[in-house]
Amino acid sequence: MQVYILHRLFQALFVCLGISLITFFLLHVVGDPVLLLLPQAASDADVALLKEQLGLDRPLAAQYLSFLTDALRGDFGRSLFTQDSAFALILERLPATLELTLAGMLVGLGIAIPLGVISAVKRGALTDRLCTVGAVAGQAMPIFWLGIMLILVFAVKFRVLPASGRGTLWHLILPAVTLGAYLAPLTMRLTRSGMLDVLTQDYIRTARAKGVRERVVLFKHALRNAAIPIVTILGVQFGRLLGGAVVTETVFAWPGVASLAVKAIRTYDYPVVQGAVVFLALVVVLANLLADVAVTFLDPRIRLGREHG
Amino acid sequence: MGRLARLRFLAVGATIVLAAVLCAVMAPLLAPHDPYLPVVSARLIPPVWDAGGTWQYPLGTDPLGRDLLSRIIYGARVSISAGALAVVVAMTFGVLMGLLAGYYGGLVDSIIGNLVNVILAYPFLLLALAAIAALGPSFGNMIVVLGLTGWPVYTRVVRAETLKVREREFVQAARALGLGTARIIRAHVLPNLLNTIIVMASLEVARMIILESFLSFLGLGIQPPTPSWGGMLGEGRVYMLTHWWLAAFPGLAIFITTLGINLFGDGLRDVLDPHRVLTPAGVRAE
Repeated sequence: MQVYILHRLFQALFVCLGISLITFFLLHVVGDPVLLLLPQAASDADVALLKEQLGLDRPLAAQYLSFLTDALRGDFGRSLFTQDSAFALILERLPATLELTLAGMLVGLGIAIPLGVISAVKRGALTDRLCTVGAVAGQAMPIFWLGIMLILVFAVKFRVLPASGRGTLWHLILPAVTLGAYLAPLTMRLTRSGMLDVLTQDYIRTARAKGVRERVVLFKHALRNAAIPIVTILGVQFGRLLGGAVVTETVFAWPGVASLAVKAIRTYDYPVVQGAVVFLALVVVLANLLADVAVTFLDPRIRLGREHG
Repeated sequence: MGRLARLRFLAVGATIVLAAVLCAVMAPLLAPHDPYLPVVSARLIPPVWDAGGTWQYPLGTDPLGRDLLSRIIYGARVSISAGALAVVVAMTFGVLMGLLAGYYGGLVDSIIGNLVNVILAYPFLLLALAAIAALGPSFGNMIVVLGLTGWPVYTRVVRAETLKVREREFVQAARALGLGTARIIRAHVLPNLLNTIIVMASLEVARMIILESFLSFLGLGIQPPTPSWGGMLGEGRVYMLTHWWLAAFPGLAIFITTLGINLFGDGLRDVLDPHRVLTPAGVRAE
């Protein structure tokens, strides 16, 4: 098991390095910060001066290395416009993003897992068909539009919920529902198919034959085993969740890291962009890693299999 | 769900996709008005069923007095072509990488595999946004960005399938007969992966359309005055509190189109590729 976790850690480190390299390459080689920052009429001398000021006149490899070593110390540079430390800006907005993603996940799982279980148990019945149709429609829904429609209905028409911003629990409802609706369809389909696989297993039949109550069979025997693919998917889905957070934060003017990144991308505030993007990518890598480790705890076969293998 | 019900889904999906493609191709014939022409006297007219609406502008007009229905019909051109082109770019690159990784294995496989892991861990939207910020917003750049960020899905699946096909007798026989690698891949490996690739690509078109719309929604994709569903939604959002139709209809167009594509793709999978189930490889970070 330690070997497996070490192997995954090493892999994750490699992925982090790759992410930092791609981000750096995009922002410094594909796009030239100086040309984007200065007005078109700027003279060559201006360009050279700004390059020197920003340290962009050094060789690319040296720039990347200092970006990497600084990043390891939590220093992503300073915002070009406010002169604030990019890392401080990110940390300041981190609680908002965490709040939103956790709430979105709760809503998403709260909808998806019960519906997935019901759908599998009542396979072929009207409930199952309605759930499937709902999931198909949900997967096609552009969530930025869903968010706007929710604002139109609940904030503009009925005036029961705030349209944007963060503060009270009321502010959290619409963004969390939007993000949850993004996460739910796929999770529901996976829960359903996971449960369907498990429900045909012999140990479920045995449990039922022993006279174990149906609720216990479903939630203790079946769901626990169906949870393995669900947890794996949740790890993978965490990336989707953050992608969804980018959209949700933008639509609801939610003051999180993702909306910070989007704003910085628009103004080409590259220290903030690379800080936020690398930071969010690291969170995804970490989530995937945790999901993999969590699965080994849920499924002793993986844990023991890896030790021998 | 019964096979008949699924076939019905396929038919509904195909009808929607066909309608959207027709809108795109025949936009000049179908649109009742010029989508670019501002009419000062017809600004912000509500849809026909709202008070003040008129049949002349069934879905209302925007702040410049342009007909919303005509702009939505023309917007199909952007979304459909962007979705299809982005998928072609991603598919070509992704399939090629998958074939290389699966067929050669070893070092090639581990380099490509690691690259795939990196791209998949990267929040897709942020990667696309950063790339657009670096390249500047334009239709061509958007296609390149969506294509180059969307390829790993194909690579994963094609690699796994290639690994399986590689060991089959007919490929080994071809190799024993002395056929070149390129020929074996083209004539024996690729045809066996075609169904899987077609199904994936058809579903990916929907995802690419949503991503294109979101980029245009943020003002980083298609630039005004070209009508695009995402761009219109972005403009409409500003007027959301007073003129709901500006944001509602372009989004509805996106939703119906992607729903059609998904129904079509799911149905296609049942017909072409009945054994494939939803696996983690098909799920991907955005």
